[in-house]
Amino acid sequence: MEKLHLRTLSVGSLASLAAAVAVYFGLSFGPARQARAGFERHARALAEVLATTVQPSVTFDDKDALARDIKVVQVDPTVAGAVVRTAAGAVMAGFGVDAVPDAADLRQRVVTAADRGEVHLVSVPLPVGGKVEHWLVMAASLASLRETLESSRQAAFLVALLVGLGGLVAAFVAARTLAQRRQILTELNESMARLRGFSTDLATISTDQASSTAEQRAAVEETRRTMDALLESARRIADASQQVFENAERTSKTTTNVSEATRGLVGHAQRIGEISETIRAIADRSDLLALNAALEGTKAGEAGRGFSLVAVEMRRLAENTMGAVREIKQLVGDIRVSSTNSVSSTDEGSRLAQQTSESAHEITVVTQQQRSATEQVTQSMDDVRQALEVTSEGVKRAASVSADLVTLADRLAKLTDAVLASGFRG
Amino acid sequence: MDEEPISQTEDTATAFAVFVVGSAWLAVPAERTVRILALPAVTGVPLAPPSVLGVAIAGGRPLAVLDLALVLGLQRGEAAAPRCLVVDTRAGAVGLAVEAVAGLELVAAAGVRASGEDGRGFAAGTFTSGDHHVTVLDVERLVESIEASGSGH
Repeated sequence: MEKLHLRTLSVGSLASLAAAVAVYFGLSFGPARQARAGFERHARALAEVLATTVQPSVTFDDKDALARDIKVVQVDPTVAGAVVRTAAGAVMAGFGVDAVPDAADLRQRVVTAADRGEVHLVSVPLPVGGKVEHWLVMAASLASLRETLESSRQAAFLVALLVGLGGLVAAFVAARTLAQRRQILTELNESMARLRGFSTDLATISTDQASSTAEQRAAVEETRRTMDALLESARRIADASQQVFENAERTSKTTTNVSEATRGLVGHAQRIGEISETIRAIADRSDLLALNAALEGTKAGEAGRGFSLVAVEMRRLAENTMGAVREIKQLVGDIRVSSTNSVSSTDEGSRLAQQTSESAHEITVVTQQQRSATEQVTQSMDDVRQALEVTSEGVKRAASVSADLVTLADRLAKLTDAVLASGFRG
Repeated sequence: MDEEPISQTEDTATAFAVFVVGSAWLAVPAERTVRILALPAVTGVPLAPPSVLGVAIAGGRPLAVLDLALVLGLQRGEAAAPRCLVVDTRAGAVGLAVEAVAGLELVAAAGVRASGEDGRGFAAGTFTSGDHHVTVLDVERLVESIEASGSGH
């Protein structure tokens, strides 16, 4: 019967430890902050009840302070006692509310506070047949544990673990034989060793995670700087493409003006050609007139000599005129060819300027899209950085809790050794 | 080949109207040249010899225009301003279609030499004008030849 009882307790302690680990990870990384806070609140109340019920007695010097600092009270006379804490965290309570002076007034205050949701009532069965000195050991452990509970948001895990350890202690108290006590204490020490190993591993993991988080933060910072550089580059490209766009627009307008002016020049050349043809016709008629005048002068003999000389001069002028007209026609022809080529070139230049303008516009649009995307990436990097900061803070807290757990395990081991020493001597 | 001066005295000079047909420089005496015209519109004459371009109106009168290049068997060249020399013959005024008129040239009697084989038998003599060798046409013989060829039509 006893072996079965002890085995049950051992299995219960391991289950408590496993549950505590699960609770730790659930609380550390679970998404429900509100649920975690509620669990911590109830766990803290449970710890206070446990600590209070193992106190043999308490005296009060300041009743007003007692009433003002009530935190948790259990008023069911069949199961538990009262939990009363001062603002400093000291436990002031007895086995039952009847043990507290002015209990009726205190009970009324507690019930009223509970109705308003200011305090929490927790029901815990009171162990029967326990010895006072054992409860004192447990109370001392819990008192030291409370400091850690107050400073850590992972209190639930510790409370759950201590509940399991409390179960072992209770089993130890309930045990009747020395061998059973030794076995229980051995299991308790083993649990402490496991707790210490787990805490050490947790500290190592926290350290590694802190290092990884630092690397991730550095990478995020580098990415952020790269995004900033990309933003600056995109801005410069947008400015340059805008300048290209404006230049292309001006070039297009200029080439259009040149093309129109050149077409006007072609029209003027055409007109010059028409006028030159008129001049050529006049010069041709003048040539004929001069020829016939010279002919008549020649026929007139000596009397017409002077007339012939004048006619010859006139014909020379006409020939010079026609020669000039031929040169003008040649030049006008060259102007037409050059103008046609110029018009073709300016039209091509205008077309290229238009294409350049369209390309610059497309570059501007694409660059704006790139800037928008880069800004979104930058915003995402900021979000990641904030998340990493939160993670880093959590890792720091986890490391702190791990260190506290190691310390606590050591202290509990010393306490169990002290119990072993005192119990076995008796 | 030695060319003999045409039948004129040493101190007399003759004026010639010098013109171009193809690559040949030709001339007719100025005293037989009535007028020099721009080549007018010519109307073809049925049954006329091929050397007759047709009939044109000059000074309100009809004028027979001869294709001198065809008559002389010359290659016709480009004519920027074709001319028509109206010459006086025993058969009346006849127009000679030429490509250009170089001008009037006063040639001393000693400068005109008898022609050999130039001008298909229509050359009355030759002289030199600058770098060009000029053939003086015998217009009467040329017209008579055309009239003779046209009598068969």
